[in-house]
Amino acid sequence: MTAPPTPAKPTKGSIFVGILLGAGLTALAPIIAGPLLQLLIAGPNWVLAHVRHEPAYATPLYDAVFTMSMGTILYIGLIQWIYILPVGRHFLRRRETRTATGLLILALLVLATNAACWIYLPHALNLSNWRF
Amino acid sequence: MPLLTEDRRNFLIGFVMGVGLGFFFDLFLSLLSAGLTILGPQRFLGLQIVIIWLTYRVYGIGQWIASAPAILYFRRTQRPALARGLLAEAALVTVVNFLLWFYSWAQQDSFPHLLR
Repeated sequence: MTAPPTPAKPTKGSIFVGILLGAGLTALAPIIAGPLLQLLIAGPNWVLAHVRHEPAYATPLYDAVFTMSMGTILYIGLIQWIYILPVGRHFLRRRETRTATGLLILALLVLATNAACWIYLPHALNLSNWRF
Repeated sequence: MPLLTEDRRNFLIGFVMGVGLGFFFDLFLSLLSAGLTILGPQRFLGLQIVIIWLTYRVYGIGQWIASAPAILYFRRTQRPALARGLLAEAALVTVVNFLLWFYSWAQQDSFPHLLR
């Protein structure tokens, strides 16, 4: 007599999905953050100008978007927590602990890589006296 | 009916995962190319040109090396919404890549302006 087959455990997410999702969010962050932050700054300025019937002065759109995207890339190790924490909490609430673990692994990897870049790159590029 | 149903949520996750997969695909191949340069600056030039094309000029086709196995994996493990998200992202990138080539052809130029 054979034992009845044990029912398969319901998979609570997957580390693979978490890591890939984190990588996708990290890749999208500078693309989204640049225009979004620019909108936050230029938007109220534009509205104010039209309410006051003043000319809306041309904003250096490209420069601002570029600067903010670049800033997001430079400080991604810190900025990533803005989206990693809410998304991770979303998965934890749904008891998808493995997906949240994958997200955390990726976030820590990005943090470590970002920190290593800050330590190593200025020396490698002989930019030790630069201030960002 | 909620706007973000379970199916749409998983589709969205699959789509973002596709971006991440492409990110890793590029990263690993770029690191491989850099490693080949360290091994010998001229020895693997042909392979490096192929890698650069796959990750840059014909990325819309090259990315399927990473996307196709992932799509098949999620279909096999009964997660069709994730697979569809990945497929949608890969298809979108392929179309955009093709449009860039078409644009450059329309401009009578040998390479896409925006990929140069």
